[in-house]
Amino acid sequence: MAEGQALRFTFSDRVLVGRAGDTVASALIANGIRSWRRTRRGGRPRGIYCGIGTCFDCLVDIGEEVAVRACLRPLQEGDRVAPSGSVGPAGP
Amino acid sequence: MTPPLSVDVAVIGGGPAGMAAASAATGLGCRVGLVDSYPLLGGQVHRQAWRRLGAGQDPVAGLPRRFRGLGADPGVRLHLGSSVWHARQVTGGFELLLTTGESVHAGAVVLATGAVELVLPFPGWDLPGAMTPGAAQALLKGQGRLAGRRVVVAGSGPFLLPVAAGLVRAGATVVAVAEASRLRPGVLGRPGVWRGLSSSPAKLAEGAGYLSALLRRRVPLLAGWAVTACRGRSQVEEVRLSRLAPDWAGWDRERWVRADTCCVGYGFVPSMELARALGCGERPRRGLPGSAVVVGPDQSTSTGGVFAAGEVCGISGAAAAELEGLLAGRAAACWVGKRGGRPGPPTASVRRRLARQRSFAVALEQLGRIGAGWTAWLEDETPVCRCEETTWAKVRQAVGAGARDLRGVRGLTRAGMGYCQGRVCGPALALAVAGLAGRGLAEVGDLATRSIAWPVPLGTIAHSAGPG
Amino acid sequence: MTGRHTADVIVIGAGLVGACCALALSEAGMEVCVVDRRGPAGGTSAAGEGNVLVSDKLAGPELALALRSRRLWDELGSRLPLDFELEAKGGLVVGRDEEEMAAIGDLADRQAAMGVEVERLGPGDLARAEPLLAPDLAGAAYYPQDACLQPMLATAGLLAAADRAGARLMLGIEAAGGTARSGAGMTISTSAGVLGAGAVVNAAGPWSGEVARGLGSTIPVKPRRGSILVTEPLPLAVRHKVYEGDYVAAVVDDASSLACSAVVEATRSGTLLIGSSRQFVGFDATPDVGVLGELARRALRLFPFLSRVRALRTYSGFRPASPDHLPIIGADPAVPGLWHATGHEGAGVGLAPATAELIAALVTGTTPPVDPGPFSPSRFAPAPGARCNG
Repeated sequence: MAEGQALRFTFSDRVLVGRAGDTVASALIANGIRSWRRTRRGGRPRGIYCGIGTCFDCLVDIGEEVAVRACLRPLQEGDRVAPSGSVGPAGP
Repeated sequence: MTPPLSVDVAVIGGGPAGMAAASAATGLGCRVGLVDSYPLLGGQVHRQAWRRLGAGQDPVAGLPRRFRGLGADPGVRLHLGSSVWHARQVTGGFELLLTTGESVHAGAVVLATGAVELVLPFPGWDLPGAMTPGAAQALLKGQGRLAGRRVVVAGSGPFLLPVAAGLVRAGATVVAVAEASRLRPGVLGRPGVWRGLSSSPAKLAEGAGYLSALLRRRVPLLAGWAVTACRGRSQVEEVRLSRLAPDWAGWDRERWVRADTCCVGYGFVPSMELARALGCGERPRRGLPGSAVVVGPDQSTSTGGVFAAGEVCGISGAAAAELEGLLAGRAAACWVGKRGGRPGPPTASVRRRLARQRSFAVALEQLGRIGAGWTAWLEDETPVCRCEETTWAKVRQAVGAGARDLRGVRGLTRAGMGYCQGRVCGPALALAVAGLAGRGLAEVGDLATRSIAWPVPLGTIAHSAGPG
Repeated sequence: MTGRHTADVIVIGAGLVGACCALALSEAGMEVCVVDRRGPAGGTSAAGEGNVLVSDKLAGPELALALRSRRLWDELGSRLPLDFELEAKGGLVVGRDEEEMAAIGDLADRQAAMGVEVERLGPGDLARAEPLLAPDLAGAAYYPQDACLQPMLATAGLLAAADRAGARLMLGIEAAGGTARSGAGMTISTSAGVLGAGAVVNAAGPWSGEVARGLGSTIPVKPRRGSILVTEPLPLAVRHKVYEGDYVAAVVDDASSLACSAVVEATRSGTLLIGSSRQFVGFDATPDVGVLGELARRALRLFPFLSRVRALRTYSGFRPASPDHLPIIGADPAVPGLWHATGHEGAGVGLAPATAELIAALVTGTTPPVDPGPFSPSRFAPAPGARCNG
């Protein structure tokens, strides 16, 4: 598979590099990050599970957008990705 | 309220069934709206590499040639990256409300909503690195990324083979492929099984191709074995493979293997929410959770003007889905009065090919049944609902407290109340509750009634949901 | 057959009202059997918001019952074997302008005279109490006694307590009909055979009209449909139960078309519940997305931030509506041995314990703590020969 163009993004202030054609989830996985949020009740780590937008396990916050499915969202240059739940729609 | 976009035929789902339906309908002169939640057409089977996304890229370039016309067809409007959160009958047809805030008014609807993987929980299944086979395949096909380096592929059904073969070809080590069903000679003697299997030599050859890819790399292929647990500190490190007893009630041998990833799935469950919202008749699936849409020979449902194609009518595979899509697209065009020329193969020959595909699928379904004893591998603390982290102990307590169906268990335990609305846990919960309560799958019901099919901003509801 | 004795009392319906009746009657020393065609809280109880409210009651007999019930819920909260998430989050009835504030204040004064705790909030206090409310509201009445609970957990807890007190549960059994026995009590036929008891309590909610017919009587209970939107879980964004000022008007609005009024509150799991709608559509459960649109539009007027918050699901159910908006509690005027505990419409969760207390007192012949007269089923019976309870 041809390599896509490199895209820089951050995850919790770490600067990472993915490539065009990545989802946010696949870019995180390619950087060795397999879980990117913790559950609200048990604090258990969550990453990708169904991979096709059904399970909502892979939620991330991206800039102002909250609870985005990382497996459906194309990675974009400059995405500021954070664990979902760090900020709610209501603000801090 | 925004004035709705008006089309002759709305097709929901951009996989093989939906693409075939859209192609057929537009070929007959219909204006078609095609909705899919992905940014590219193709669905799971024809999933395109996402590197094609972006300025000037064609959303169909990576599709098989026969679907590429959809991209430039002026009669087809693509609503990609969008989901239908509600569908309803209105005067003169149907209204589809989209998560993007648009609404589509259509004279006829083709439901090609596909299916989701059927998963059974096991201890450790919510550790990072445990995922569905479909997740690993989507990462590979869509992004060219490997889900992990050392992978166990397990569960049941023919889908495990292409996933495992894809992983080894891309350079992963597949530690084992474990198929929980055990092929017994007697099974082949069941009515229709042998005939069904022999009806599609192409499919058997496809399966043989995957098998030989796996065997060349010396991947152990286990029949009658299942993943019954995985463990690790913050992600999957070890996976327990167990040789299942008959009916899966326990196991007589087990071994722990080192792996960073395990992909476990037990087939598929039709995605029924929109069919149910439109009042389409359903049939239960023999021995399996969930239901499927009942369709006539032209893929019409019990709701006039609504047609269904592909896995939502029962799990028959991509080839059948495409044939059903073709029939559904033609019938939908006819419903809205477009009876012009008949491009493509004659309907009778499509139906013959479809009958062969379906008999193959029915035969495969007979080979793999879910053993009633699978809950033996659950522990008290195993989360059954991933969203709400409902444990197996809580589910048992709820049934003990008198809950007799899934709605009752959901009310007492919150299982199925999270973001996914029971899409992941619902089918397994149906099997488990039926077992605990000593009732049939039909009696315990399901969690597939979702008037809001997908999460949608309240602002969008306020804006687009007018009086009926 | 007439001699068959299943229990002293058969309670039909294992929702919150039935479960409360089962516990109260068991604790009063009766042998109780609860019959339900589904499971616990299989109908109306699971389809509401778990309201335990005083704010939405007009000053009158229902408010007296609500105040009594509010105390009983606190007591149950400390003794049931299951945490049912009882929370006195308080209610805020907000007004958009001076006219609405005047109506809200007038109702509050009359409620306060009956012992309801209520406090007026000006725009500044309101913004401090609920910071995400729209900034242009005129004020609110604050009701600290308003509470909510998780009705399915509460029903399970009540039934577990009733079970310990000796009650028997027969679930998945449909009561088809029955007749008064000669002497005393009733015989009812069910899908599991014939049951007999000294008394039968009809706690079948919106289905209680059918149950009454099967038992040889009539009560004017009609199903009234209500729908609720549920959002994704949020960090604590809404602290109280917040109503539009016209909520009480919607409760007593008899139009068969849609009566809607925004009610927004957070649940313990972080989701927000957005109600409320009332429609007379029989038992038609077809989803009505137009109602959801109306709920969303009204909720956004109260809380503009909700525009970006996603709804995950909706649920709806049927509430047992009585013609005069008062519950129907007491002896059937025509069929000896038959008692009704129904007609609470959307207030059944809140009123269940006091309803059960009344029923237990009436069935056992002790003095009820609240005047049962206004709730008597005989108020609907033709005047001659009508019997009075209590």
